[in-house]
Amino acid sequence: MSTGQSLSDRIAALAEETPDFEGRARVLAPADLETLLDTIDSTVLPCALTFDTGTAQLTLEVAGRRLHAVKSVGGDLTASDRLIDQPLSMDDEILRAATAKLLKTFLDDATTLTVSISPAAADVLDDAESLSVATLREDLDLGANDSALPVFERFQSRTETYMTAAIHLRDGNLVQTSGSVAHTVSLKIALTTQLAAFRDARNKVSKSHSEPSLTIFADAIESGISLCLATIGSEMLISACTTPDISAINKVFRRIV
Amino acid sequence: MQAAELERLIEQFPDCSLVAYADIGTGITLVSAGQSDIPREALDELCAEAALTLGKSGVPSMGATPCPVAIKALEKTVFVYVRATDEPDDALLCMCQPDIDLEGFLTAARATIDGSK
Repeated sequence: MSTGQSLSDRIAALAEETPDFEGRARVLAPADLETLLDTIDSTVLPCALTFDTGTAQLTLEVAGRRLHAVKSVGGDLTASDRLIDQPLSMDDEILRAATAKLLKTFLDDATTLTVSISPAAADVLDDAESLSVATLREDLDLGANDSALPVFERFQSRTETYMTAAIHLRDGNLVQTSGSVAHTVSLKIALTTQLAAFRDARNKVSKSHSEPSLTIFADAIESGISLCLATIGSEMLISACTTPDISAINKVFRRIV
Repeated sequence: MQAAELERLIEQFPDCSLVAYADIGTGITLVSAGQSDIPREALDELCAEAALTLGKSGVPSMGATPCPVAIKALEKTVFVYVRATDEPDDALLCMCQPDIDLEGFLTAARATIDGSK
């Protein structure tokens, strides 16, 4: 969502780009973690991305904006056999921590970073057992610099990469829309035709309606696409996300509030 | 649905403190397990909120399609509502701790409600 492109746009763009990219390398500057994570986050088709600092190499299996496995390491870089070629899961904290440490170590003394791409053999695009870039940022503590932000802004920034579209409201007024056009239309329909009735009814049945809350309606936009409604104070974020990401969004909410 | 099936779910997930099986169409809680001292009014509120969030009789409350699962997270509690696949007005209503393994719990709750048919 941060690029303003829909998932389908990004898949189409990458599908066109991949043949030219195959067998070639790109120089990424600056050679830092954000750049590496941004590269993963913009990779939708299943690919093996090989990052090279000149002294160390790291090959990652990536698809659907997620890191699925560390395929190999080379040069000065070493890693436990338990990490190499193991499916990465958001819930496997040991592997997550080892992966985060490896990524940090890899870039310790890097001045240049090149990345080359090759098609991945595994069909991993629909595999939910993988690490999202947002989770990696959390594990690498790259989200820590937002601690001074108000709660809602922290929630918004930390869930941005999970969402295919979002509408931000403050005191009921539109602040911003972003993301996939199709999903934004679905959100606007829900916003204009359903939200007021839903909130009125909830206020009648629930005593907790004034608390910060996150309500997730799984598969409510279409199969595989869920609708999320986050309310914190006078701020509201109504968003669309892929259904496997609802657990991650809930974890962010839990950490933030 | 037997209370023992709900109790098994709670035994499997100690972060879940209450599971109720309800007909959200009529707003009636049929059986529950976990907090034995929960007042009837609290169960009624839980059922009403589940009906509102999941949507009754195939009519979605939010979005285009009735959701099979809905989650409401608050600071100290997560409510999980799981609709039966074959009986759209039958649902499991669960009250959990925020740290619950949500993915694992959803899988087990789905097996509990659909496996009981």
